[in-house]
Amino acid sequence: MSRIKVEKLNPSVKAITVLLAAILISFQYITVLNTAIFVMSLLVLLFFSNAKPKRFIAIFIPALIAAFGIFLLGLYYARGNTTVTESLGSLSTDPYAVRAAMMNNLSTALQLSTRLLAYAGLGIMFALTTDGEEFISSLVHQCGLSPKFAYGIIAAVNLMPKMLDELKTVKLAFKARGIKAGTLSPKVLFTMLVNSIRWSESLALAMESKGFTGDRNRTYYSVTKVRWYDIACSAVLLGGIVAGMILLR
Amino acid sequence: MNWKLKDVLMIAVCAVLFGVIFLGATYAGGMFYGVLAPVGMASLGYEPFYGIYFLGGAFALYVMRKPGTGIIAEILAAIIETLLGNFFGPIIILSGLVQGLGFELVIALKKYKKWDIVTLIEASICCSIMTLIYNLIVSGYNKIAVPVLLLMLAVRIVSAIVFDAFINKAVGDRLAKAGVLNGYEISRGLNDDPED
Repeated sequence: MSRIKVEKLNPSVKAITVLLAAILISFQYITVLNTAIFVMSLLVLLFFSNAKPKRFIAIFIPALIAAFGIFLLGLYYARGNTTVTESLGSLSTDPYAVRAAMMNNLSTALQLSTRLLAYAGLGIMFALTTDGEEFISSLVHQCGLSPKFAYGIIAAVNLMPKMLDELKTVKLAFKARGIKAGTLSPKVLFTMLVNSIRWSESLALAMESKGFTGDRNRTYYSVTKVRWYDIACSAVLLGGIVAGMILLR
Repeated sequence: MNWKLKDVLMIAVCAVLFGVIFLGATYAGGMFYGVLAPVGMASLGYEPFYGIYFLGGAFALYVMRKPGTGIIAEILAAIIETLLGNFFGPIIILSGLVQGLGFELVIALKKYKKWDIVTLIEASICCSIMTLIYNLIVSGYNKIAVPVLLLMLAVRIVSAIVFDAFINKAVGDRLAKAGVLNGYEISRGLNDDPED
C-alpha cells in the first residue's frame, strides 16, 4: 500500500509539532477539544500508520492509569469546591448546592483527565510511528545535535538489555550472600553505577579506537530531510488545535 | 563547552540506568496508587518516585560540576525516555528541561563552588517547586485544591531530598573514593595520583 503514513514524516518536525501542540493544549480546558485531539491521534494511528496493536496497548495502559488517577484527583479535590466528604455531610441541608459542586468537580475531573489523554494521544502517536535511530539522525541534521551526543544516546539505549540482565545478576549476587536488596536499594544502585561508568568508559574507548571523533563533518549513511508535506501536516494539526480553541471556547 | 565522548556516554548510560530503576520503582509503586485511589489521591502515588526522576541531572551535575551539565543531562535523559517509549513522547523533553533547570539553578547561584549537602537539599527543593509549577500549568494542577497540592509538593520534596541530595551525595562520594570517577571533577584532589 502506498498510502500516506505518519512513519514517513520527518521525526524532528513531528517532535516539534507535538511539543507545540502540547503547549497549545496547556492554555485551554476545553474537554471536547482535548477528547477530539485524543480521538484524532487514535484514528491517525489506526488508518495512517503501521503501529502494532500490541505495542499500542502496552504503552496506552500506563497512560490510561495516569489519566484515571488525575480524574479522581479532580473529582475529589477540585479547587473552589467542597470535597466529597464535606458535601456528603451537608447532603441533607442543601442538595442543590451539593449537586452543583459535584457537577463542577466532575467537569474539572474531565478537563484534567482528557487533557492528559490529549498529551498521551500525541505522545503515543509519536512513539509508535518513529524509529529511534531515525529520530536521533534527524536531530543531528535538523536540530544541530552534535554527533557525539547522537551516537552517545544510541550506544546507551542499545545497552539497555545488557543493563537489565546485569541488574538481575547484581540482585541475585546480593541474595546469594544473604543480603536483602531491592531495585531501589542504594547497594544495588551503587553496584549498577560502577558497572555503568565502566561501560561508558569502555564504550568511549571502543568508539574512539574505531575512528569516531564526534566531528560534525563526518559522512552519513542516510540524511533526513524536511519536505513540504512535513510542514503541511504540522500546520494542519496546529491550525486545527488553534481553530478548536477559538471556536469551542 | 567542550564535551568529551566519555562524559556524554557516562551521562547517557546513567540516564538509561535511572530510567530502568525508575520504571522498576513505578511498578512497585502501583501499590501506592491502588491504596490511594479510593480517597482520590491515586496521583499522589507517583510522587515518592520523583526523586529518581530528577537523578539523571542531579548525579551528572554532582559528578562533573560543569555549568549546563544538569540541564543537558536531563534533556538527554528525556530524549532517551522518548526513545524507550514513554507515552508522553517528546513532551517529556519539556519537563526534562524544567527539572534540569530547577536543580541547576541553586548550584549556579552558588557559582558551581558549593557541593555540600545543604546546597544539594536546596537544589532538590528548588527542583521540586519548579516541577510543581510546571504541573500547575501543563498538567492543569491549578484546578486542584491548594492543601492537596501542598501535600503532593511535600512528598515530592522529601523524595527529591532523599534521592537527589542524600543518596546522590553518598553514592557519588563513595564512587569517587573507590576510584571509579577518576578524571571527573568530583575526584579532583581526592585520590591524587602522581602518575595521572
